[in-house]
Parts: sequence; C-alpha cells; structure tokens
Amino acid sequence: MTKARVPECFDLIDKAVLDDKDFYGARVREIVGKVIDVAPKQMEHIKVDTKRCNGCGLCVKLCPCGCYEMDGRVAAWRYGELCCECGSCQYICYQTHAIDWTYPEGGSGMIMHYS
Amino acid sequence: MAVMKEASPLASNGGIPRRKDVRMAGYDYDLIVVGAGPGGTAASLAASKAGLKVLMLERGEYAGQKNMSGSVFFMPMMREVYGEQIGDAPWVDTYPILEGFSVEPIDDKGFYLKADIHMDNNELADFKFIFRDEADKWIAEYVASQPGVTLRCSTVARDFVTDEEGKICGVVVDDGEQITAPVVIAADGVNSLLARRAGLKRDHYIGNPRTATGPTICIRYVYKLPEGEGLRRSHVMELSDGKLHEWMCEPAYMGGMDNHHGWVGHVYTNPKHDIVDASIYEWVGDMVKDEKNIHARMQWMLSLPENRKALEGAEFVGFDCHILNFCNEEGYATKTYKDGLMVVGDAAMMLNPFENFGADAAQWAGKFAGEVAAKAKACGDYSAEFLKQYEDGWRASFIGKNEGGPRKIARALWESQGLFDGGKDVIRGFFRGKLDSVAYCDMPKQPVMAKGLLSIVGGLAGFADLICSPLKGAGKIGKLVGEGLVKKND
Repeated sequence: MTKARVPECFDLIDKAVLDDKDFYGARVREIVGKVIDVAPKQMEHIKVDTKRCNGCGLCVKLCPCGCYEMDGRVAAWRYGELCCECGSCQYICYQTHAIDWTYPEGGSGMIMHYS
Repeated sequence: MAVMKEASPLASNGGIPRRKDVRMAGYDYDLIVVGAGPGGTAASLAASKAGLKVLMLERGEYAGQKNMSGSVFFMPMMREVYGEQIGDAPWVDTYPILEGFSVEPIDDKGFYLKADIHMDNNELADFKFIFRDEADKWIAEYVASQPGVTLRCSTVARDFVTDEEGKICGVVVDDGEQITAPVVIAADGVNSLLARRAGLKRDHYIGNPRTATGPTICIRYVYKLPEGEGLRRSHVMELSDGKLHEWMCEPAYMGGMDNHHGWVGHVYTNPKHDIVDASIYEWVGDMVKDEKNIHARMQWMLSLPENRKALEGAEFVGFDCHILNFCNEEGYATKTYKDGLMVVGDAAMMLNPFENFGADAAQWAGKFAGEVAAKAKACGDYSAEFLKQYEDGWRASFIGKNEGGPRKIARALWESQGLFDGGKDVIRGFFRGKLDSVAYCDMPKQPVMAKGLLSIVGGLAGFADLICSPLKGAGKIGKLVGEGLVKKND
C-alpha cells in the first residue's frame, strides 16, 4: 500500500472548489487508490445492465471510489479493484435500476483499517 | 399462503436447487445468524444462553474487517447484552464530555464549530471508543466461545433455502452450499442482501433530507500527523484527576448546509494517535440533484485555512466510505419478519435519524430476536404469526419510540432551510423535538441529553446535539442559546 504525503493532496485541494463538477472519476481514483486496501476478488460483484442503462452518467460522476467509466453510450464498472462495497451506486441509480449489486465472495474485497 | 404472495424475490434463485427434504433430514442448526456485528453477536449470544445450536456467518476474514462505521459503543447496553465480561474488550477510550462551544460562520457556506471537550468517566455519557476491527473481532470471538455457537468467517449468505411451502429454512452461501435451520436472523448490515431477497427492503428509495429519510453517503479521509503533533494542535485538556486526556476529538469544522442541500462535514484531531479524521456526509438525493462528487465537498472543506493548519505535514493514510440509511418514508423497515426470518439492526434500517446511531438498537433488537428464536424452538412454531412478537417487541422498545421524536428534530432542521436562514426556528425545532423525544433509550441511568453527545462523532445532526448536550437542566437552555448560535446569527 503506497501512501501519499500531504503536499500532494494539497495540490489537489488547491485546484478543487466546492462547485467543481469535474471532480470525479480519475481524480477520485487518484486519491482513493493511494490508501484503499482491497484483497483480490474473483467475482465481478457489480454489473451494469447495459439494456437498462440510459447513459445518464450519474454513477460515473458520483461513485465515491471512481469505479465507473462510460463505455460508449452506457456506464461500465471498470475499476472494481477500488470498490469499497459501500452500496452508493445502487441508490444513485434509483431511476433506472441498471446496477446489479452484491458483495464479493467471502473473505475478499475491501479491508477496513482503524488502528 | 400469505408468505408466498409477497415472496416473489425468493422465486428467482439463480438456478440454485432447493432443498426440499429438510424436515426429513433434520436441520443443521437451530438458528443461523447472518452477520457478526453488534446485532448478530447479540442474537447469537441470547440464543446460546437458551441452549440453541447457532451458526454465525461473517463475510469478512474476521468480524469487523468489513465494518464501515460506528466507533462508539454505549456501555450500559453493552453490559446488558454481553454481560460484565465486555469490560475486557479492547476499548480505546471513554467518551468526551462537552463543556461548551462557539460558532464562527465561514462566509455563507458553513461554520467552524469549536468545542471544549474533556474526558471523564461520567455516567451521564457512558460511551466507549473502539476500533471496530479490533472490538468486533473480540466480541465475535467471545460469543463464538459460548456453548453451541459456531462462527464461520469469509462466508457471504446470498439467498435462502426454502422448503416445499416456500418457507425460509436456511441460507445459501458463496459456493452454493446450503445450510439449514428453522429460523434465520438477518443482521447483515445496511446493504442487507437477505432483507432484499426476502422482499423486505426497497433498493431504490433515495428519500429526502427535508423529511429525514433515505440513504446518506459518508466518506472519511484519515491523516497521520508527525509524532506529538496531535496534542500540540489540539487544546490541552485535563481530566478531573489532573491527568491529560488520552483521546480527544476536536471538531475544527462542522456544518455546511449550503443552498438548502443536505450535507455536513467535520474534521477531528486525535492527540493520542496523532490522527486527523475528516468526514463528509451527504444525502444521496441531493448528490444526484447536484451531480457533484462527494470528494469535491471534502476537498473544499480541507482547503479551509483552519483545516489546512491542522493537516500541515500530515500523511494521508486512510479512506473509507459507507452508507447510513435513514429509513424509508414510513420510518424503519415496514416489516422485519417472515416465516423463518427476522431482520435486525441496519438491515432493518434501525438507525436513529437524529443521532446517526444504530449500534445500540441493533444490539437490543439482536438480543430480543435471539430470545424469540429460542421461544420459537420451545413452541416448535417458526411461522410469521409467531415471529411477529419480535416486531411488536422492538416497536414497543426505545427503538420504535425513537422513530418519532428524532425525526421531528431532523425535519425541523431541514424545514428551516438551512441554519443561516432560520437559526432560531431550527433551535426551537430542536427543543420541541427533544421534549417529544422521551425515549432515547430504556436503559437505566441514561438521561436523554447525554445520548445526544453521540452525534459529535455521528455527523449530520451533530450540530443539534452540540447545542443540546451540555444542558443538564432546562434552566440553562436560554443562557446557552443566548451565548451560542442565536447571538452569532443575530
């Protein structure tokens, strides 16, 4: 697990403002990827139903781990190794119900550290 | 049958064959508890005391590995549920007592809230901090050491086993293995797969902060400060015995209901571990409306001068994210039982909408569900009609009573359209709500006000608690309000 010194994070802060609608995706992955601890998963535990997806891109913009990316007209869960299993995306996609969500197989996936 | 009508999610089981001979073959266990958090361990322990053979399933490699939030436990509830042995758990520290606060607005976006907090073992606030990955592990292992309890980790329960009548009689785990028991307790957390599978949970309700319903996303950044810096950057606090406190949380920033949107953040400094902890909570509904990632809010909060000062030279060491589900439009889960199933804790949305606190509710409900499971075994009746006493029980307890008062407070907060538009109405709403909210908990020795302290850590409604919690008598209300928010707003 690589850890970032704060000055790098401050660089990001300088660029960011409260109303920055472009702060998502790769910029989120850059932050989260520095510290998140995920045990390897076999299972693709989140899937986008490409028939249902209307391409609104809300999951891409709002996922707190930046896991989604547009794949042409529809969204794709492409950065599953960063997923922290919070479940936000199934609520974000409340209108189209295009996200098929479950946990990864037991003993794999995100590991929380407190101490 | 009534159950079959509403059991449509059970009908599609991904092709897993049903075990139909369960009654002939006998059950593997008397009770399967899914989840080894506060609700699951409480249920397993209660069932073990009644002599049941219990299987407790946990999806992490150990209990607490997947825990996403909640680092404070309420000790009187812990002692009631787990017994005095709980004193040996790896507690980090006692809870701070709030002595006073000041509020400084930051342009029109929010406010700094500076709190004077000190540590004391005071029965008014008998809470303990824990690291959930340590404490949950300890508690689950303690419960697993009790007679009849088996703890199986690294196992996700994905579906139910049903008998020929469609009644739940076990769970299907990761590899398709079927484990049977006449009754299942689903304590599998806020994203409960089983409550959804049973048709007791709606996935696509995003709620509304104005009615204090629906899911909220919380993210947290953790920073490690150079050694000793935590203490230097906090106010130095002394305990009543003259010793320095070992753990102190000092909010450097709290607030942020900009433009009537539901989001709040706070930054704490923890001197004992030289840690700075920054959190943002936001209502999913508002996030969807704004189309702004929650990290943008966090970046803004961290860029505030006070917070930059607190973070200078710190190392970014942790990130986590979780959902708090503030119930549906009717409050907690409308129904928490079926034939052979009881749903407990966050899985049943038992989250106090004012305090953002659900561990004590999960523990109480878990213990009660375990006892009902034992009664069901004694009577040989696992029907929905029999298990309804679980639902009746928790609705009559502090959990059910808490649906009313705290929700009124939360609504008052949002109805006033932000603190800066209507500070006085908000405060009036808080106190009205507090007076209505007679039942924070049925536990002995717990004054209503003390419980409110939790939200300092909790987040969203924390500000309301900060106003209310120092009050030990109604006579002080006017004085504190006079010195606090109202004065600033006027």
